[in-house]
Amino acid sequence: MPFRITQESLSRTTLSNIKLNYKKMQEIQEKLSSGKQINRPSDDPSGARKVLGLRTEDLQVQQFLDNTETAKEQINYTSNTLESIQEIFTKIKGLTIQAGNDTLGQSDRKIIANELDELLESVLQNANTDNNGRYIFSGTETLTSAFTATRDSNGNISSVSYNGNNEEIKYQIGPDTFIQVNLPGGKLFQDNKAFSTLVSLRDSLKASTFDSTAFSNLRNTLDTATNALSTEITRFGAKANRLEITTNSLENSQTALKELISYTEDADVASLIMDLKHQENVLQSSLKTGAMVIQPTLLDFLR
Amino acid sequence: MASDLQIGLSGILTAQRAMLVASHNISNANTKGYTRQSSLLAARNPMITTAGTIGQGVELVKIIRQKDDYLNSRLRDISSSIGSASIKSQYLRELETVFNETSDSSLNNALASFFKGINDLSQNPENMSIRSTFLEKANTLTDTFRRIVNELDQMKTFIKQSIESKVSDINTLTTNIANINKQIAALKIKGIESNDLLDKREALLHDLSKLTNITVNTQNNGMVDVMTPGGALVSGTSATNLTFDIDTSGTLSITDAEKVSKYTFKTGEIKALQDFYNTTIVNYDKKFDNLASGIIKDVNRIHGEGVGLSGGFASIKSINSVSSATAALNAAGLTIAPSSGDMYITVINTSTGEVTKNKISVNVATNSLTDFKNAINGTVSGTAGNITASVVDNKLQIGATTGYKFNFSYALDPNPGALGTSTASVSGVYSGQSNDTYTFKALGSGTIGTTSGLQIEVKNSSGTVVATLDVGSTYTAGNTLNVANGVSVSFSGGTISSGNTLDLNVINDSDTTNLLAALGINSFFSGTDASNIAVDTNISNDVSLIAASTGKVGNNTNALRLAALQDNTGAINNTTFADYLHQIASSLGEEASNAYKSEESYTAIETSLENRRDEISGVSVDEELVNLIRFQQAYQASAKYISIVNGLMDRLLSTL
Repeated sequence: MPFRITQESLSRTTLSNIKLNYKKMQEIQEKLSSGKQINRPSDDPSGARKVLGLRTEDLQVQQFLDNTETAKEQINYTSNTLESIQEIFTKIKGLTIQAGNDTLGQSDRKIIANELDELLESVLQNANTDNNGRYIFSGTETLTSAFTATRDSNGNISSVSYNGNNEEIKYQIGPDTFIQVNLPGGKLFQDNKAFSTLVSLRDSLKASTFDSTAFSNLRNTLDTATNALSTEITRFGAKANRLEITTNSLENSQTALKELISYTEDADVASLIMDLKHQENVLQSSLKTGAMVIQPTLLDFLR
Repeated sequence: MASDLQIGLSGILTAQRAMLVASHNISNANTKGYTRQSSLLAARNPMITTAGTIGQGVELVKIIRQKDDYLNSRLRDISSSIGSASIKSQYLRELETVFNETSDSSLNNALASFFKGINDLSQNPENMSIRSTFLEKANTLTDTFRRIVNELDQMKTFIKQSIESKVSDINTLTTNIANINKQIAALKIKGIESNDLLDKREALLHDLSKLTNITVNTQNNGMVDVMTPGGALVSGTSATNLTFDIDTSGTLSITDAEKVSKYTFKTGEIKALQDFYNTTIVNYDKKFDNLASGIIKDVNRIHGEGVGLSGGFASIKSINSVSSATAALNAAGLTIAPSSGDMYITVINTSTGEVTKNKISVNVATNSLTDFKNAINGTVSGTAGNITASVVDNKLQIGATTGYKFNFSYALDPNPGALGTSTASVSGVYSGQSNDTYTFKALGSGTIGTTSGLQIEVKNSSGTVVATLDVGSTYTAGNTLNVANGVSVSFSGGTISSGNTLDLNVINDSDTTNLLAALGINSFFSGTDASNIAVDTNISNDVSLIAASTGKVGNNTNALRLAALQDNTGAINNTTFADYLHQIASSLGEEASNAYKSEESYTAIETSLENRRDEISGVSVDEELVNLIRFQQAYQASAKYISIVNGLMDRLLSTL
């Protein structure tokens, strides 16, 4: 039996090749129109897995960035409040130096005492600062104001009690990396006797006989509290720096991740267009040759 | 002379018949499965004379069907393989669309956004709108799980219908084949080759082989038997009717009409559908169930130990029931297996804020739910007497007396007692690896904050000194001292004497039994797998119950623990939840891409086999036209010969 080619097999071969060409063109066009090399996992199973993993990582880095931003906001807020309190303490210190002067009379001291009382009120007000409804010095009792003042019959503060706790609030800003964003007021104000010292200072100025030794002892205690405040301000400044560095490094890794995702997933438009052009040529020629091959039979030449 | 005319006549008749064969071929040039026929011509038996034999013209001996049985059987095999491959790639493509893992509405995104919700919650645990947003994200996750399972179920139904119609196709085909067998045999007895019937049967066999792989045995009487590995589909003139059956375990099998004997197929569309129904979908279903149950277990385990905004419960009821309240807990039909260990129940006096921690030890191999209930009542009544447990409908119910609330938090006991006459207050979050007990021991005697050099030593349960605290003249009573692992303590004014001790339980897991998750107490998710995972109704009715804290409203310790689940590389199959999901997606992608490739390659093989079959059996119109012309010329020549013989006759007659 000689090698026979029939019309049927000619048209079958032509047709199946044309189909194949269209399919390849469709694949290229899908990649071009979506801009992606991988449109479903079966396009490149191992690449797809890599992309999925990278995207999860990218989302997480984004999450850490968001967390860092919120942490920054909280830390700056606390830091600003601490600075305001520090300013008040500086004023108080000035007043106490003035009051410690032996040449002052009782009426002068009373004036200073009144001024000190106002400053005490504003320290309390600052210590009860809330950030969007959350009291910043209450530990985790964030919905309770940090300090409550007990007042005497004249409405003057006689003592201040702490309503919060010493619990820390931490935010996650990296894998296994946390940063404390709050400052429990118990440790800062109460442990350093800030309020009780201010109350005592005021009262000793109001007292009929001025005890200068006790007064200077109280001033020393006040200095301890002021120093603790400064230490915290420095620590919060350092925290803000750390967050800034964290943001930078997170942004760097996000850029790297995005590049990697794009490298794995995105279509190489230039080479795809080349492929498409090539495929177009192949399709054109297979259509043309198909038309030439299928048409003629012996009938065309028989009369 | 008469025989001369006979020779001419035989030439005319034979040429005519050969032309019939050629034109039959031409008219069937595009008939599917048509086998080219050719005429076999031979010289008629000669006349024997003394001079030798004289030819008596031509005759059409046989109309031959140009076929190659081997090629036909190869084509049937490849058609079965294409049947399998095309079904496989078609349904895997659909499955890929269902999972949709590279798109935005994927489970991958739902999972990531669930964890984002927890992260946001950890930053604002007291914010109700953030809690509600997180609830919505959790709902999206559970909805996505259920949507996928639901779509898999629908796919199964669709496949079942498809199998049903394809089985009935088989029955129609086999009945037709048996009928044609009968006609062929009837003709064969008369010695007639029924070429076109054979073609028809060949086409039916080809269609049948697409549905399932078959072996065809030809009998001497011209009939064919159609065999499958499971048994005969056609034997002679009888065809076996098939149907399908789904057993109690949900496995679909093809059986005879009486559902007695099973037919197992090797390839073909039905086999592929069956595999998809019995294996592929079931496997993916299982993987999603694994993922969902892993998430349910881990989230509930952590959530159960946390506390919502109210800081504790007045009463709580478990959502999972045991099979029997008197059966040992490890044999009580709980989906999450409990293990022997301790559970801490914290009872809080709501007016004074006083906290009592109660430890309940459970042996799951011997204790039943009733024993556990009794243990709670025994322990807690013994110390504080302010909560009562009961078993209702095989579920555990715990209620607090008025003025008290309780929780299962791992927060440290803030008031563990006194050392000498000095009261200790504890704060912080224990960050150690496992539960431990810290023992505070006075190293000397004196007054806190006054006596110079006064120290308190802290040892862990294995006797290692973890801290030595200075509480002498350098210490101000009530100030906070760091102990170790995140634990801080302060001592009130008072006196201690050398040798005074105070124990503090430091715990990071308040339920080593996993009973909270197993029984569904203070659970975040309800359900056991991907088909029924849902946010617990208590939580969706009241988002303040979401346990972000270990006690106070602004505490986010538990939310951070929940968020850490995202990175737990031991969560499921030694990898993270997200990575497990990526594995599912990529293994599906792998499977699908293999199916597309094999469909492509089988189709290429089929095309080449069909071309080879055409080389033998296909009609070439050109060839037939040449034959037509050949036989037309033969006809004309024979006619001419008759006319010559006729001329000779005329001449002879006129001469006479």
